[in-house]
Amino acid sequence: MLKTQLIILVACLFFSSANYAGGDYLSADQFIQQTFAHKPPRARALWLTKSQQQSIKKILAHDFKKLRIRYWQQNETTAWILNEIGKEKPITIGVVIKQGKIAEIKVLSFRESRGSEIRHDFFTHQFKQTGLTNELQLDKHIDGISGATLSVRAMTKIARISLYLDQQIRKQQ
Amino acid sequence: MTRHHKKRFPAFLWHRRLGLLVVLFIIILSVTGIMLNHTDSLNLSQQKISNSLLLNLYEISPKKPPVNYRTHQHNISQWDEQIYFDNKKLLNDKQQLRGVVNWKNIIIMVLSRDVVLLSGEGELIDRYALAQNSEIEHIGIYQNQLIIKMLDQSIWQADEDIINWQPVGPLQLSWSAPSPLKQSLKQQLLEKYRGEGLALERIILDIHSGRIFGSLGVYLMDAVALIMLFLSLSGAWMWWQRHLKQKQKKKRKT
Repeated sequence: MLKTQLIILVACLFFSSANYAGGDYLSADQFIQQTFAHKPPRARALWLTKSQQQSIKKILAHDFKKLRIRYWQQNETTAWILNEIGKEKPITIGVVIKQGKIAEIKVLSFRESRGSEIRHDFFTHQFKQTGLTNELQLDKHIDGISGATLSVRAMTKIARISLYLDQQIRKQQ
Repeated sequence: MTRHHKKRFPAFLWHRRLGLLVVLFIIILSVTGIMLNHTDSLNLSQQKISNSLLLNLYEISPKKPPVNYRTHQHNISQWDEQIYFDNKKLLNDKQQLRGVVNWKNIIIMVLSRDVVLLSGEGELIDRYALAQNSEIEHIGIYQNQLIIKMLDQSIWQADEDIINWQPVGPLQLSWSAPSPLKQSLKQQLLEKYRGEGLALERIILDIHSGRIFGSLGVYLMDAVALIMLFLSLSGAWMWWQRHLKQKQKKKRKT
């Protein structure tokens, strides 16, 4: 009986601490290599117009200071690596867009002390085949995670920005 | 005429005395507790304290001397985790500033792992991690090409757009090196550094826990918590006693 109680206690402690574990899960290079089957194209840069900066600012609901964003493109697939603050620290997220829809979204680095559940497939799977509406919102509802609201919000914003930037690339071409 | 004083049993007397003793603490705990419950909506972690008394209490001062790089008319300095463009805060980052050059009117700054591009006015153009296994050691310009040296001694050259980097052979060049910081700028940066160091949330947390007065404050708040525990139990006890007496009264009447 005592042994069973001890096992349950250790399991609870393990899973509770696992939820609070941040870390580097995938480097930018590994993400790009995986996305393009180890034959990645050269990175390019999208120089942002004032209007594009305003749209990104609208999605983020705060200032966006960069004048250009790097991306990788092969045919109709684009890959983006973007950062957004969760509660206090940036989360690095990689997004792959194919034919205007999200094909893949992954947490590359998570620096907060809680909310890292967003890196799991059960959550990221919701973003697959999601597109962008004219109002710059996702065209699918994403279920949140209790206790990870800010992380969920950050990932959702990055998904929207990636879809928006992909649209801008395709308009230019 | 004599006055008949109702005899108060000890639980009530102590309930009253201790209740009065901790009134102020309960108010402090309640107000700070409510504020902490709404820390995000009140933006407590983003509001910074500039009061020098509090900054001195928390010993908010840089831990290491500043590192400064000069490029044309500008200074890019790092003091602990704060990076400044002249006297304006640019970034808050744990990475170390390793060099700065001006190349084709773009200021390129390298941190331990990241390349940061700034306009001549310090506006952020781009920032990205250099996808290498080693950290960046130096940055320099060689025959009008932008060159980076890694700690593993490998050398990389940027393309025209400073997007892609290719490995090149060993090169002899002058790398970007730190330069002394003017005293006037140093003083300005010190004021900025201290002003960024203490969030309102920290103060409220420390008031709530008593930690603002050191370990004595913590024990004091522990004592207040124990008194509040006593108050809740004695209050429940008194209610129960009164409840029983009222029941007995009703029984006698019937």
